[in-house]
Amino acid sequence: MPTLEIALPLEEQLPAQAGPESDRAVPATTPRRRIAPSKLLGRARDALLALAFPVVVLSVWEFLARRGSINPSILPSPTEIWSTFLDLMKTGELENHVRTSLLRVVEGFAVGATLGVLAGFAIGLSATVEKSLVLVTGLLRPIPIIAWVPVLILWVGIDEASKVTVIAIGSFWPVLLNSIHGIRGTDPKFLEVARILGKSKWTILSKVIFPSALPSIFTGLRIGVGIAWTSVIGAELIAASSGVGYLIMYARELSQPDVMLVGVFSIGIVGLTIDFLLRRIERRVLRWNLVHQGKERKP
Amino acid sequence: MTISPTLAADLEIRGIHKRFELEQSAVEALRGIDLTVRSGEFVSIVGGSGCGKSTLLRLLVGLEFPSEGTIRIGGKPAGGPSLQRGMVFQEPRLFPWQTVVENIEFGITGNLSKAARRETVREHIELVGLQGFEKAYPDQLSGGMKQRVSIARALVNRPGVLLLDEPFGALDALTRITMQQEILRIWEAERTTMVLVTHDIDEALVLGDRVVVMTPRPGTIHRILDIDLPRPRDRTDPGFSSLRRAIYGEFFQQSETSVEYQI
Repeated sequence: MPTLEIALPLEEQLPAQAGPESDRAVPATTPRRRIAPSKLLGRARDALLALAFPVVVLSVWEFLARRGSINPSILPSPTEIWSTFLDLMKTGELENHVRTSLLRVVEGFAVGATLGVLAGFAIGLSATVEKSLVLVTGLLRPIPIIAWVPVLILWVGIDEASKVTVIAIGSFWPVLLNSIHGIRGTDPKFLEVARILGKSKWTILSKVIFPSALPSIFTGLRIGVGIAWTSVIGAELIAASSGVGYLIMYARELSQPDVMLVGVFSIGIVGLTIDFLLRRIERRVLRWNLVHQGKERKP
Repeated sequence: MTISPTLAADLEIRGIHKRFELEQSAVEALRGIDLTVRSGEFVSIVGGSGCGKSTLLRLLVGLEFPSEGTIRIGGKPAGGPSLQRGMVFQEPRLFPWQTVVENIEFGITGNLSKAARRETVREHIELVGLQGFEKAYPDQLSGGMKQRVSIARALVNRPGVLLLDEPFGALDALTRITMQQEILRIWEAERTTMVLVTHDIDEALVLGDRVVVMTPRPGTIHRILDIDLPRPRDRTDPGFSSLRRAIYGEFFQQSETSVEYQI
């Protein structure tokens, strides 16, 4: 469920190498250049560690499947799944389903995230708006997205609209909550500076509150896009004639466990890729925040 | 376009009282403050914690309002914040998402052409000696450099009065002395009226034309000393030492009743 918790990737949980504050008068203890090779080595070791576990699991799985210890109509071997994957890629079938699902995510997420940021600003900036919405949001937020699917099919039909709406609802909440959190977190000392300098409300909003809330909003967007991707699959599992969720359901009806698993794993791969891309964007847009947190020093 | 020269303004503080209403009781932060600062003058206010010296500055800049009394700046009632008054806080309060240039440019309020803005910012970067650091983020600067940016941001509107709330309090002793020399140089170049609040007696003496000694609970002006020493002031000069002794005396006298003063 979307909460204010900030899911940090593993590397960001590691302590920062250098403190953010060091005066010029204080001699640097560790020159940057000397850190580089050991850091590189550390990254290589991390990558090895990350790969080792799946490789072991896959080998054991393959070994057991070849010995005949696993019923292939329940769990096919990794190589079998791989060759099905290649087949589905060759025919373009998998690509089509992934593209359909992704398109729904893009549309739904665009709507949900935009509304989330806008509502977040309204609630974060106005106590009146917040108080008038506190019951409604409190009631709606705990509803799992899947519960909306049948209702939405009734309201907007079984076509694209119901799926897009489900995704919009799913991505709305984390974006909303994190936007509110970010806006409320604006340092009142910064607001005082703006007041002393006689800034207009609009300047204060666009130059002080918004940038200060942006890291938090980005966290919301990242969580939101993850939820968007999981909710599209959920919606497709229930009612669809295309998309990755549909592929999985259809394969179950045809008793094709290899196709099902290709579908299941491609969900994971796409999700990982989306998160990776978003983090790249965040790094570029919020470079100041890396500096602020002491993860990057040189301009 | 040329930048209009600073028009220093005078400050007139008459019968200021400031009370803060708490849940049950009221705290009297300032009582009966009278002070006139001539335009272009440098006044230091020195006092221990809780003497209301920062509250006084917040009243002067317009972030708070007096419970009683009047403040006139350049002959006009002070009211809320205005561009006539600039302020530098103990924490530099720079926006971490803006570079040095952008932070200083944020200080400019009013309609200026892009070229004029750029020129103004460049001049002020030069004024505080930060050439070469234009593109740096505040978190990449040392404490003293951050405070330079903060001073430039406060000066960029050419305020008639610059209020300094313990601006060097968080800096190490050596950087602090450098920054004191810097603020004197800027004051001599700009001739802005400056009011500096500090708990550092030497700082007050090195900088001020006059030193206002404040005592706590409630905050009142205890004494005002004229500092008739030529600048730059020598901290080892006998005249300087005797003034320092005089101010120390004010505090040690009180330290029997209040031990909160720290040096």
